[in-house]
Amino acid sequence: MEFSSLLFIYVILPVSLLVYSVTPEKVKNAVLLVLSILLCATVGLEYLAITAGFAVISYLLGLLIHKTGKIRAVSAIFLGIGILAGVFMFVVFRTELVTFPESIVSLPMIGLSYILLNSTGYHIDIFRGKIAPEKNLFSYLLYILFFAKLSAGPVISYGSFRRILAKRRHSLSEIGAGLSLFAIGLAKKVIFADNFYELYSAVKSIDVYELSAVSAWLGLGAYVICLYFTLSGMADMGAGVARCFGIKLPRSFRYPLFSYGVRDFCRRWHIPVMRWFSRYTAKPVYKAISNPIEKNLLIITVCGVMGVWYGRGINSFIWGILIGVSCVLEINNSNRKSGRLTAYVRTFFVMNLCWIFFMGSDPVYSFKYLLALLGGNNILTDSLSSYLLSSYTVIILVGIIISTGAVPRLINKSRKKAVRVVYELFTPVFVTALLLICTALITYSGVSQNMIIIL
Amino acid sequence: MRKKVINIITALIMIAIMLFLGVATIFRKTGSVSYQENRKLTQLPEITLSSLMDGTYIKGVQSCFADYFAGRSYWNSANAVIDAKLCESIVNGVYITDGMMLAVPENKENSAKQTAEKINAFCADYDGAVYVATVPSSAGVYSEKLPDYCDRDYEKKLIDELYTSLDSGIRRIDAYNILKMLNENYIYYRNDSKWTGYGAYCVYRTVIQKLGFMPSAYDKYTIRHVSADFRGNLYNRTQYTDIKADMLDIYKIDDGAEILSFTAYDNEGKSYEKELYDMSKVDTNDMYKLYMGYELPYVKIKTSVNNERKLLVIKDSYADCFIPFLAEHYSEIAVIAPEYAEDTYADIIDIQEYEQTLFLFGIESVF
Repeated sequence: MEFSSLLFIYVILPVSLLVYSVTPEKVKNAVLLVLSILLCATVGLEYLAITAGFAVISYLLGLLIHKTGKIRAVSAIFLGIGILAGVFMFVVFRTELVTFPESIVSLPMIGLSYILLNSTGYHIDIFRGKIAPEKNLFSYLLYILFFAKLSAGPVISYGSFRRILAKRRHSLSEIGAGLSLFAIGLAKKVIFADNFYELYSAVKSIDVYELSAVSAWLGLGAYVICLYFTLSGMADMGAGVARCFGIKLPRSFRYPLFSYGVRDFCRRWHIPVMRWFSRYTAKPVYKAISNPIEKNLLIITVCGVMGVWYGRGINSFIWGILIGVSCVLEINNSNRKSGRLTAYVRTFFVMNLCWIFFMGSDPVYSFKYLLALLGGNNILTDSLSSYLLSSYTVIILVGIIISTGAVPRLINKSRKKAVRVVYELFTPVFVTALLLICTALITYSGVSQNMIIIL
Repeated sequence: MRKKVINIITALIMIAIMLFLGVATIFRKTGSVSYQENRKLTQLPEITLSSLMDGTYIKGVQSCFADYFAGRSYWNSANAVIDAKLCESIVNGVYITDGMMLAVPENKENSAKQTAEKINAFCADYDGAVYVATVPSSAGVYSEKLPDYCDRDYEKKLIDELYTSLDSGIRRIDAYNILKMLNENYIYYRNDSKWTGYGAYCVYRTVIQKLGFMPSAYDKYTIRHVSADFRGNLYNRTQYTDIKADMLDIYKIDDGAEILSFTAYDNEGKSYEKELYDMSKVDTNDMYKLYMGYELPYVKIKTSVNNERKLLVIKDSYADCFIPFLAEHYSEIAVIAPEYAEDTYADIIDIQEYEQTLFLFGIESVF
């Protein structure tokens, strides 16, 4: 079930918290697992069957990889099966290569992309002997299906997840911290992502040949910022919920939209996913090769694979490749010094060039859009762009300020203690207000529906 | 330490709000109809295996929970104010512009062809003359007020498509351009997508000429303002109150035709004697229903006009404020409302008795 729905916020979350608080420490994991399974069931029993079924297979493969660990070839075969199973699931549910009966395809399959990364990483870790496989099926199911991270990401290795679970501290103050984070994530999704989605859809509904340059920039900017607010809002909501249960999940985003380099962007964007790709695909090969050209090719390939994982067809693949190429260019020119500001501006344009491809549905459209962006339609502004600018002034300004992360940075840097104290005292009022505003915004339909991307 | 205390305060406030609203919603005592939104609320769905399998059961529970959510109409009004003031002024698909609300056209599948086919089928076994008037909604007549990216010719195209699919013998009435030309006037409600009494009158002048009569001059009417706080279907969707409420008018010629009888029939043929205007509806949340809003499929109106002329009107709610204008010219008018009728026309009305038939319906019936 979506976190940004009235039923979740006002029934499921408080009830689960109550149940969880009164259960003794020993069975808390069991309660978490039951809750996770119930929440999967709310998406649909078919969804539960598919995800839990995949988790069981992944669990068995983990055992097999470990059992045959001494005979590397056999063990590698099982690892291959595990990876192929993931690829198979991806092809079936994330691409249009396979057509299935209507009912199964119509399932949203939330979080499947994350499940696949988790499972594959688990198998690789066992194969490498980094961790022992989990013997208890239920513990492994909790790892895969834990509801706070199922739809929201943080892709964490099984070892880290076990450590995080062991460090659990459940208290009222943790609940407060969790709910604050949840409210902030909710606001990111409901106030910002949803409004930027409307702005983006307005531009998208215009024929690309008739777009004025300003409208095209608005559309692209809205798309990127909507993507950021959706993913980071989901991640915050998930991490917030987890924190309510005393579990501290790692952070997913560190204000990526304003980076001073493409590599810097990769360090701030969707951190656990980026880390996964570097740990399980890039690093092992990187160590094995010495030829600099091969190394460059490797970076580009890994970025391409990552693009495919984000799954918008050929376009996201091109997006990945472009990012890879920019990274390579950046590495090879790293000794050329330039000012911070130029670096920010350059990265802004490079990243937007990449995003055009991520946004479009086919490469031809993206090229046309690029042309419109550069004023190729010979219209700089039109009534649409001024209408959109005036309608969304508040959202655009506040959205940009928030996505730079300037406010918390300024407050934390502030030398005056009073500023920080006021900020902290203000928090309860602030997050309560966010919760109430979001409630007003989702009451009509009961859930914030527009998802710009499903992972 | 300070941070801890603040977190505990946050937790207590937020949990209190969540529990309060959650419990208040579950134990909320309210009917199954929303007064503000003028619609039936979603009820708890029945549990079936397939709805559990594909998750539609929980979706149903979610919308039921949202419909019964404590203080729902307050939340909705707050949402409308936030959207109108801080974001793009589109609230739940309704565009709030200077002084009026307009439904944003959605480019979805329409039934222009099917509607035309139904009318053609009617004509095939009918001997009289057939007239068709499709009335645009306020979003069509005031389409230039809509945001740029909306399809401003959407309703025009829809009506054109419908009209070109009609058989050649059918006479078409171009309500769209008449209304478009007069859109400086109060011809559409600010809070509803339908035309006002005056809008109906403007189209009546053309329609009645086509039907073979001289229209009554505007200054012959006495206009009664029945209500000055009508809020219609667009208000129901947004609950936005910053738009001035609308006026409901009744047009009457002082020494004009009298209504001798007004008989409505249900699908079983049971008859009900009614009035042309149902004044009791003025005190409800759905004031527009005062114009013939009986939700009954068939009506027969007999007037004091002594010309033996008979007209059949096949209509939706747009025609409800239009029929009184027609009543000045015919000794008998029969009305069929297909949205309530189970058959297309039953034994109650013999269509061949009527030498003319007018199809009069709003664009929403074609969506």
